[in-house]
Amino acid sequence: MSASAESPSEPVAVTGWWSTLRSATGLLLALCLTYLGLLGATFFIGRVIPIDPALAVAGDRAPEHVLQRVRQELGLDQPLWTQFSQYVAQVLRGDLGSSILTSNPVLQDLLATFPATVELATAGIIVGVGLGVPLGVWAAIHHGRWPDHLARLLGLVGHSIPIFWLGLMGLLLFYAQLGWVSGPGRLDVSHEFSVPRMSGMLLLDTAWAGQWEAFRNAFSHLVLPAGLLGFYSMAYISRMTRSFMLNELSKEYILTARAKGLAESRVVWWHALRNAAVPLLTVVAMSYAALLEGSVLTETVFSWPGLGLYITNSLQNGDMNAVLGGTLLVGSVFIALNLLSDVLYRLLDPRTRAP
Amino acid sequence: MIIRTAVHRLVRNPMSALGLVILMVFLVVALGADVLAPHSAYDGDLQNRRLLPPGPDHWLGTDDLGRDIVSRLIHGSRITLLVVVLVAVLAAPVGLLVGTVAGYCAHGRAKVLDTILMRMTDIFLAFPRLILALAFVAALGPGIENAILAIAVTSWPPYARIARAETLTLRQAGFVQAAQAMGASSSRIVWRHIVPLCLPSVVVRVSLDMSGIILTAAGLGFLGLGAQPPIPEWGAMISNGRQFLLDQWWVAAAPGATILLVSLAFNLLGDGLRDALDPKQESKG
Repeated sequence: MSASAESPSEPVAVTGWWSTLRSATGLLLALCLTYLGLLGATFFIGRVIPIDPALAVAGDRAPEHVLQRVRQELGLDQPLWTQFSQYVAQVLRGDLGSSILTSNPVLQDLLATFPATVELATAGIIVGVGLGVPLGVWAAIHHGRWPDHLARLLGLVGHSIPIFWLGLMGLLLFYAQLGWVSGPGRLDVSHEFSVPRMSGMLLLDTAWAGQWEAFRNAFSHLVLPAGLLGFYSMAYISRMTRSFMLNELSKEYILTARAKGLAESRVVWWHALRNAAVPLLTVVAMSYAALLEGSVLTETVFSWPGLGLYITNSLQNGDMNAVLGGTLLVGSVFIALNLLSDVLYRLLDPRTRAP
Repeated sequence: MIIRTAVHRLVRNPMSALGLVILMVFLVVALGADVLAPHSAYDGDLQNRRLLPPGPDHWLGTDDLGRDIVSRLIHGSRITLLVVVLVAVLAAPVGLLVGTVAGYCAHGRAKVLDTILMRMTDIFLAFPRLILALAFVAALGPGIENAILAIAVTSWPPYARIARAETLTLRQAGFVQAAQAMGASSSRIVWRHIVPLCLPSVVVRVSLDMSGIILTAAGLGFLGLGAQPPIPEWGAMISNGRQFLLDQWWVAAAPGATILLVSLAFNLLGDGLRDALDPKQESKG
């Protein structure tokens, strides 16, 4: 799945603070390299693949002298290497160019749309963990019998379903036919302009302002996409929980706990799950990252005004600055989550630390 | 012998047998689309047959241009097959090459090469694949060829990791040392001795990735970046049916259910394959 899933298993050989420093430096170096790679990829996509980016800016009917000027302004007459270092410097300053579609700086657009995506993905991962972990534990306890097969089938179906289609079918059933939830969007128009913008996450903002009517409305909009995303991530989480739990339950300390006469529920939920929880963190972090990335599809279906919808709208209008800015943001979050799960793994599992 | 028990175990597992059957049907349908499709996938009857509900004449109804949905799905299976095969053919060799070369150099004088190649692989692994594929297609221009290329570019790294791990164990083997002693060049050893042995595990991993490839391709199609109309690509068909979701739901429902079916079949088979090839897993379940 990712680099982080494998790196924690490498033992840290040297002892003491020196090893901590070394592994921290190593992590930091890897982080910088990965980030440079990401910038390289977006640079390649934005500046190298298009035959002449100046055409995209000036239009293909622009006279030659205008094109020349645009090329000069964009720095396209410089060698590729200089262009890349300029690009890196620009990004580090937070300058992602401006969007053609909204004519705002891309960074400003991204910051405005990102909270909506975070809200949706967070709600989704809460549902996913809330369903997936118990399901995985349940499957592991009844390993080889029908609950195990059921969990396996559910997981495989969740893994095989096109998420955007699931969203459409969910809208059809729960919104159009049954009327249980609100439709696309984050809020009804009647509440649209009354909610003060604090964090950009509507559930928090409405609760903070004490607007419970708007809170209920935002919740009824959120519940369907979050539930579907939760089902989607449940597939992977339950499967991994099952295999981690099987691994733990076959160990000797579990036998000891049982021999001591501990209640089975305590053995499973307290002893085994706590040990399985450490590798599970990586899985949850990866699922969270996948939900953020999958927002491109889900947000399109639910007209959810977040990062994903912003990227798809920009795609359809050929607004490469915005697309690449969004790619950079999602990529940065990916890298950060990778790093976070790596660090947490080292902190929480004493076996990966030096003796 | 090992392969025979593996196949035997695979077929005995009802779930993976089901997956295998569905995939066989998929393959037959894709290859025989011209004969099997009851109607044309491209020509519709706008006057009389627009948005008909499922019925005896059109089993899954017709779309907004009066085209038979079953026939479009049948022809669309070719597109899906094409995507899956081409991505595998493009991405697997790259991963195999990078992984075996890196693994072979891991402990020699060319250790730098291993470090560079695996750093690159790790960097690619840390990327969000769907978004990167999106950006690629956005830059290259929408179309089925570019979608395939973008998916292939983002899906080789796991194969490189597997091939490297395999190579690391193989390069200590007696037959490799014998080849070295006889003066075989490094490229010959990698190409003739190591690559063939790494191939099976990479192929297994590719088959496990198939459903992911199908879903990504369908997602690109849904966003209008994959196959362009009037090509009956399943994801694009869902996107088209979205406009009529509330009144003519079958236009969007049918292609999605088909994607689910084929992708589930790949997953069922892959799941069984993993169990069948790994006897350790058998005892655990």
